[in-house]
Amino acid sequence: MTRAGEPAIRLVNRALRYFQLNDVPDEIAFSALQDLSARLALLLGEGGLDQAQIDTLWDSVRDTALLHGRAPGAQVRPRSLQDLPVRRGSIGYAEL
Amino acid sequence: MVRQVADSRPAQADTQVSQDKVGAAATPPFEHPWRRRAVLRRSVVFLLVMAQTAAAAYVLLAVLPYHGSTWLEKAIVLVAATLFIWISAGFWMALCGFVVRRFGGDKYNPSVRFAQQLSGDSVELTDTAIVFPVYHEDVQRTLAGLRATWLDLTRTGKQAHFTFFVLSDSRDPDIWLQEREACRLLRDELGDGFRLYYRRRILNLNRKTGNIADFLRRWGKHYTYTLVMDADSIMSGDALVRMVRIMQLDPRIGILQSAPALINAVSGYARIQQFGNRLYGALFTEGLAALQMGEAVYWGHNAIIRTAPFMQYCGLPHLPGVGFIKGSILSHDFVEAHCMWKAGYEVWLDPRIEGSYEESPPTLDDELERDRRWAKGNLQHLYFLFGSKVSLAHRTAFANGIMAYCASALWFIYLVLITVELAQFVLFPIDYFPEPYSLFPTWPQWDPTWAVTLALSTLFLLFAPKLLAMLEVLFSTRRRRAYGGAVAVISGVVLEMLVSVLLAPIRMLAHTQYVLGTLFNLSISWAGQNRTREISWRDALLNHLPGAVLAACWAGFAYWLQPMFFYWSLPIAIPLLLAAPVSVWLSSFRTGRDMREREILLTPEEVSPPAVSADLHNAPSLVAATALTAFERAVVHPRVNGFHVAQAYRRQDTPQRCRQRRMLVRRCLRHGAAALTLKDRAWLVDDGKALSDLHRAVWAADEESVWGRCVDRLCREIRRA
Repeated sequence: MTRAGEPAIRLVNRALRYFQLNDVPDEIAFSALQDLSARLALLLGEGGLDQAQIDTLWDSVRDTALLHGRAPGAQVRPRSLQDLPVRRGSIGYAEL
Repeated sequence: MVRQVADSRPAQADTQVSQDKVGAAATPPFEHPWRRRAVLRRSVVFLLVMAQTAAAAYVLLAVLPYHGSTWLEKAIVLVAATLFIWISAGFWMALCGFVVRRFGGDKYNPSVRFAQQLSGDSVELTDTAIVFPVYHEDVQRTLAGLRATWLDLTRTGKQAHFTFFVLSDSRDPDIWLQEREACRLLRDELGDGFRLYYRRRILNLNRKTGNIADFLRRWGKHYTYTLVMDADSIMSGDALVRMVRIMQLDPRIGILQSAPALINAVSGYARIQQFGNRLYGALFTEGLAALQMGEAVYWGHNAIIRTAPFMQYCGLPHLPGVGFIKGSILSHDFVEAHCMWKAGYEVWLDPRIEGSYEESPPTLDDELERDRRWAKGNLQHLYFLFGSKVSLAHRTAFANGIMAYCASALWFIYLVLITVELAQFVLFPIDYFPEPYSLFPTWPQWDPTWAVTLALSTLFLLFAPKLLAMLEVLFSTRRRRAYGGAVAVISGVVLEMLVSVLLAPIRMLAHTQYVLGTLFNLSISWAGQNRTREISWRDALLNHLPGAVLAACWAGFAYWLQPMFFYWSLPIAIPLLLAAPVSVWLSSFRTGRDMREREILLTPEEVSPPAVSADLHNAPSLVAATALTAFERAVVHPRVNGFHVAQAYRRQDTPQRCRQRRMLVRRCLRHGAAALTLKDRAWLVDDGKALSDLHRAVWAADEESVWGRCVDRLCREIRRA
C-alpha cells in the first residue's frame, strides 16, 4: 500500500473503534466497514483523498453508530432532577 | 415523577392532634409530659457532678503547696475544676446509660414508647426523601452505600415510599462526572422501581446547609420527611421504616436522630475507633438520650427530619458577630435542633434504632483534619451559648460541643501552669508570705499522697465507663458471643485503652492548636474528607514533628527541674514523641487486616454481618477503571459523551455564549484538558453543544495529538477489557 492510502487506513481503524465503543452489532458494523472500504477504494482510485471527503465519510460513520449503537438513553432514560416538578417552598430563616 | 403524598394519620398520639396532609401537619404548641422527668434527671446529674468537682477541687487545694493562696494556684484550681466537670459529666452520663439499660431502656424513648405499634405493620408510611449531600467524596463508596441501603429497603417491601437524592456540591468535573455516571449505572442495574435523582448545584452557597436548603426549597414539599445521610452512611431498611413510623406515631417529633455505629473499618486506627464506638458507645448514647430526652441534638446525618417545620423554622442565616463568630454556620446541626425545639417540636436521640451505620476516618491525621473543621464550627456556638431564647438543655449541648475541643486547650494550660508552679519553687526563693499583709508565714508543702489519689480518681472516672461497658457485655451470653467471646472482648478493651492513652496527648495538642487558630481567626477550608487512604511517613512526620519537639523540650526541662516531675511528664511526652510512627502504624490497612485475621477488636457486625453490610462489600464497580480522567472520557467515549450531552443544561445561544464556547473548545483541542481550569472544564461539560463539538473534533484529531493519544488509550482499554 502506498502513503496515499494511510489516511484511509486511519479512517477505517477509527471507524472500527467507534463502532466498538458504540456497541454497534457486528453484522451492521462490518457491513458499514465494507461500505466504507468500497467508497475509499473508489476515491483513492480517482486520485486520492482530501480532508473534506474524509470528514464526509466520518460523518456517515458517526451517523451509523448513532443509529445502530446502544445510545445512553435508548433503554433507560437517565433521570434528571429536572424531571421532578418543582414545588417551590421558602426556607424560613430562623431568628438567632 | 410527581408522587401523590398519601394522607396519613398516626396510629396513636399522646395529644389531641391529627395530621391531615403534608404541610398542614399537627402544629405546636404541644405538651411535653416528659419535661418534668428530664429536669429531675438533669438536676441529679448536675448535683453529682458539682459535688464530685468540689471534692476534687478541695483535694487539689490540699495537694498544692500554698493551698490556693497564690494567683497561680487559683488559676490551676480553676482550670482543673473546669476540666474535672467535663470528665465527671462523662462518667455520670455513662453511669446513667448503664442504669437505663439495666432497666430495659428509657420508657420515654420513642422506640420503647411505641414498641407495640412498631412490632406490627399497622403504621402507614408516607413519602420520604433520602438525601446524600456530597462534596468531592469517594464516588464508588458513596454510591455503593446508597445501593446497599436501597437493596435492604427492598427486603422490607416498603421501598415505594422512598426516593433517593444525590445532592452534589462537587466543583471538580472529574468527580461530578463520575457521580453522574455512577448514578446512571445504578439506575441501569436497579431498574425503574429505584427512584434516584442526581442534582449538582451550580453555586456553592453555604456549604452543606445551603445544599440541603436548595433541595428543600425546590422539591421539599413533595416529601413529608427527609432523611439526611452522609457520604459514608448506610442504613438498613428496617431502620429506615422504623424511623418513618416513629415520626408518624408522634407528630411532635421534629427531628429523630439515630445513633450510628461504626462499620467497615479497614485500617488499624479505624478498627480501634469502631470497637470503642460499638462497645462503649451504647452506654454513653443511652445516657445522653436519657438526659436530653426531647431536647436532644441533631448530628446532621442518619437522622430523619419533618420537612415542613424544618423548612419553616430551621433555615440558618449568617451569624452577625465578629471574627470566627461571623458568617455561615459551619456546624449547623446543633443549631437546627435548637431552632426546631424553639419552634415547639421535639428532637429525640434514639439509641434503640439498630441498623444505622457510618465509617470512621481511616487515620488519626484524617480525624484531626476533620476536627480542625469541627472545632471552628463548635466554637461558633459561643454565639448561642450566651444567646437569648436558648433552652438550658441546648445551652448545655452547645457547651458540651465547645468543651469537646476547649478541654484540650484547658489541659494544655493546666500542664503549663503546673510546670510554672514547679519552676517557681525550684528556681526562685520560696515565698513564705504569698498573701499580702499576712502576719503568719505559709510553709509550702506538696502532698504527693493526695496528688496520687487525685490522679487515680481521675483515671477511674475516665476508664470506669469502659470497664462497665465491658462487664455489661461479658455478663450477657448473647452479647459476649456477638463480640467474639470473652477473651476477644477483654483483649480488645485493653488494646483500645492503651491506644487511647497514646492518642490522648496527640489530640490534646492538635485541638489546642485548632482552638487557638479559631480564636485568632485563621482560615479553615472545608474540603472533602479522606475516607480511604493510608498516611505516608512523610506526612506523619510533617504533622507530628512539632509536637514531638515540644514534648522533648518539656520533658527535658522537667528532668532538669526535678526528676520526679520528669517521670510524671512521661505519660504525656512519650505519646507525643511516638506520634508519627504510631500514626503510620495505625493508619496501615495491613495492620487492620492482621487484626481482623487474628480476630482482634471484633464487633457484632463483623461476627454476623448484616445484609446491608454484605451488599456494600458486594457492590459492583460504579466508576470506570480507566487511565483517562472523567472529563476526557466524557469527551472521547461516544456513549458517555451522549449521556452527558443529554444531561447538560439547555441554554440559549447568545453571542457571548457562542464566543466563549468557541474559545474554550479551541483551547481544549489544542492543549488538552489539563490546560483548562476547573471552571472552564465545568463550563464545557455544562454546555451540550460544546461537549458535542469536542467529541466530533477529537475523533478527527491527528493520532499524535493530545486528543488523538486519548482516543488511542481509550480504545486500547476497551480491547483489553
